[in-house]
Amino acid sequence: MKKSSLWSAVLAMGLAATLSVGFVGCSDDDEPTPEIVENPLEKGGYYIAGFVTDGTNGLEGVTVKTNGAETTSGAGGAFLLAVKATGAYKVEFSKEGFVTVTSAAEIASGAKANAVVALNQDLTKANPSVTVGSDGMELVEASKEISTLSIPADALKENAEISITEYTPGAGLSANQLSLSTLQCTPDGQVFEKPVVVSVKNGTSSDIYFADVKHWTEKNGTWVEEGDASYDAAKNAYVAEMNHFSNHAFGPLCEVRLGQVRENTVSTAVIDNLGKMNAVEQEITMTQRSGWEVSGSLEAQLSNAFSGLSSSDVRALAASLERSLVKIQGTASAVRESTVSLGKAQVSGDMKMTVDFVETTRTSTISFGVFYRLQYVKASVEIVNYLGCTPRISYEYGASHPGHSGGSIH
Amino acid sequence: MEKRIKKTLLAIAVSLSIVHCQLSIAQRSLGVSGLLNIPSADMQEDGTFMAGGNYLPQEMLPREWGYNSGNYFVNLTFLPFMEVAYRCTLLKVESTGTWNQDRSVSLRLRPLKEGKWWPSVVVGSNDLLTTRELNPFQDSGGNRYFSSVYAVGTKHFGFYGHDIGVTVGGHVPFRSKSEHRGVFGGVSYRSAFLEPLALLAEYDSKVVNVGLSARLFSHFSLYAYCYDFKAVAGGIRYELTPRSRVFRPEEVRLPWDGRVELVLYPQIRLTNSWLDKIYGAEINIAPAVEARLWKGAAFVGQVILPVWNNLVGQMDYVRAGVLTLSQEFGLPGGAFGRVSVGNFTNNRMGADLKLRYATPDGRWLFGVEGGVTGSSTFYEGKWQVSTWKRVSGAVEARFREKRLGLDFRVGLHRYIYGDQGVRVDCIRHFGRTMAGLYALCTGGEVNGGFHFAVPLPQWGRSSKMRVRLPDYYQMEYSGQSGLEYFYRRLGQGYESRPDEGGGVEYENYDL
Repeated sequence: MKKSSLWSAVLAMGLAATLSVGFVGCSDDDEPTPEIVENPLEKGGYYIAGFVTDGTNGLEGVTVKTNGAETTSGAGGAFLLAVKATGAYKVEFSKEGFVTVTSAAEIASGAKANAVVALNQDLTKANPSVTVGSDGMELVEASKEISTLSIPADALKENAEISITEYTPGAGLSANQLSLSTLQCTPDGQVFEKPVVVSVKNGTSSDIYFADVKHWTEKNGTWVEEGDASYDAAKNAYVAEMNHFSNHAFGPLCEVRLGQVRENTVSTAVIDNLGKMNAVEQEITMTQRSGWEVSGSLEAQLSNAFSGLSSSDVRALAASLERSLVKIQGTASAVRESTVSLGKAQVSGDMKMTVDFVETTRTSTISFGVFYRLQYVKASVEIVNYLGCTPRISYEYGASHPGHSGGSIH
Repeated sequence: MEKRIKKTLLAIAVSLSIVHCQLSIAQRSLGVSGLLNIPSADMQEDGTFMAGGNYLPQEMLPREWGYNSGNYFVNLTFLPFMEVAYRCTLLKVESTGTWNQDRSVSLRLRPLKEGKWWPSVVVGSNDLLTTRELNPFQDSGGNRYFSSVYAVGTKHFGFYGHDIGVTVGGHVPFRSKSEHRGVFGGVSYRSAFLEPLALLAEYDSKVVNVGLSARLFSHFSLYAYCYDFKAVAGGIRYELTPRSRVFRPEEVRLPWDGRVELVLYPQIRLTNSWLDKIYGAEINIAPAVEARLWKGAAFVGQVILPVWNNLVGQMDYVRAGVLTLSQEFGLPGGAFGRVSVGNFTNNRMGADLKLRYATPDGRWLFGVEGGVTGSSTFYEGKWQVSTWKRVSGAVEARFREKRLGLDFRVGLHRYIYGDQGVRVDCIRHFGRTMAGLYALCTGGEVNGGFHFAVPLPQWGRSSKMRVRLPDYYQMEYSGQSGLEYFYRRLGQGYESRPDEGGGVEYENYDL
């Protein structure tokens, strides 16, 4: 052999060995094949998630339950209910010392696996009871001081322990009712010999007040109209009568026009396992927003709608409206952010999983009537609801996952 | 007077029947010889290679396309009477919304060549077969969107340098789901004054189309037409007819004289097996040091350098290619052989033995080969090898038909993963260029495709260490590479040298 050839061969071997990255490993297995696993994220199941608050701060330890699922709100009031099927759910929120409420939530048919429906709910501490005798009493609701019950003499045959609490009813149970005041009156079913007069303050001056204000009572979870709560200019209040105790609401009729649902990818999680043969596991969490807010500035909208209305009336009307919307929304206007764990995702070897978290929002228009300087005026306000978040899973397949019979040229 | 009239009529008849086949060949939307959207009985010159693309408005596409699309194709007149084409029509995958493609094959055979008094006749088919459905008459077997079988005749009439081609044909109702039925026909006209331009009009069994084609720079053909007077379609193709050419001495590689050579192997791999991309593509440059050690012994050390790919895996890493020590030897009776040990192609490593015997007249070549190998991969940047436990081998025979330059090759194979099959190759030599068709049945699955080898220019003969390109750039297309073929790893083989495979086989004892 020529010396130069030998050296060339040695050099060539060295070159090839040097340029080849990594190190040589030896196994009994043949060519590596990707480990195939079933991704638990694909298996289905849905969530109802959100916050329980006292109107301002999160409430811990609230029992949240629905058909076959129960959980307790954690620190900050966040809760996560796992349910198995799509459909309409009634969710009960209860905590010792607070008014128990039931909200409605719906997981739309065709929802993708692990879809999260947002649900926020305010709970209200029940007011202590007072003793009312046959001589009657003027009873002002303690926490908000919006409503006053005038129990006339001889309305009660004997003394009764009576409590009234201005509370936030369950979300989603009434579609066409705003509520200036929602009262839980106990004992439930208490009958009065004479009608009890309820006055609900008009927050503004008498220049402007709501039209079509009704009195509803809750019967078996449904709000039933009892009659009018007519505006009394002298009292600057809406006045109605009740003959028995239940949950009562007083507010104007409204028309809710549901707007278009918008989807927006708010974040993305990626498990890139391309080029690797072993399956991997990773916890998937997503941040979702829940709640509602007025689209833009409510005061500005009202100022434009009612030119000439004093700024104090504008502020008061805006406050009344926001409070009224609580009956539909179940919570004061606020948008909260929570982190939801969807569990562990498993991704097969040589695959890449991308999860786009798609937030769903809907803008709705709520119309109502007012008397503005004795003229009937139709007004409306736009609100945005944060309905939930859906993880949308897609895969990129590596070289070892052909998708069809294909062809190859090389 | 009567004689004069007869002579005149005869002269007109003769002048009308002057054949100008080459000039009248027009384009066709499916990438085969024909008019606009119909086939004709014209054939390209023997060995003509064509490649191109067409724009296809949705009006002329099957109902599965609800949008405008296009196709691209390669076409070869494999024999003077046989034309084959492979075509991909772009379509959108519903599940991913991404573009992919529908593959189809066309075959045209000419039983009758055009003569002075008779037309040429071609029978042909488009999109006849589909994966896992080899019976063309079966209605099942989904995506044969362009399936048709037809017979067509074309006659050219020439006068004073002008050419008129008349085409008449009909579709054979071979399958009820075929959308092509009934008769079709068309006329082409090429002026004596502007030969590159042709006017075309046709009835394609459904609608009437009119258009024109133009030939540019000797190798390009453009065409555009109005489909049913509703939409505009068109396309472009490149045409190349190989000429027998004597290579200059410096262009031909001499037998290996013992110098060390650095051979720069380009590697391109395109795989259409995924729904989210048209091609998984991989482009590498793989330089190999090839050195002669002693008589008959050689070392090949190749490194694969990734240039670009759209996949993730070992293709991202600099890795070893062919890394072998081999020894050639002679055997009694003119037989010869080669034993190789090392890292082979297709992620294999092991030992390989090849034995060959060629008859003295070169018409027959017989071969036996076998090897024991394990895997050799670079996943996650680590060179991982398995024990050598896979036994594969083949028995092959080749017959060379010298007049047409045809090789017929048949081989019984046991492939790497134990599947056994038969592979038949038919290879045509156009000078030093080779093009082949093959069919393979292994593990109960049928596959097939084509391969070609194009000679590359050689240089640098005088230096001690020569840097050069390989003798050939070769590629092989296999119709099936995914699903069943992939998961069962059917038809998997290897080469022990980087310059072998496809139509280029071990046949010379030149070390």
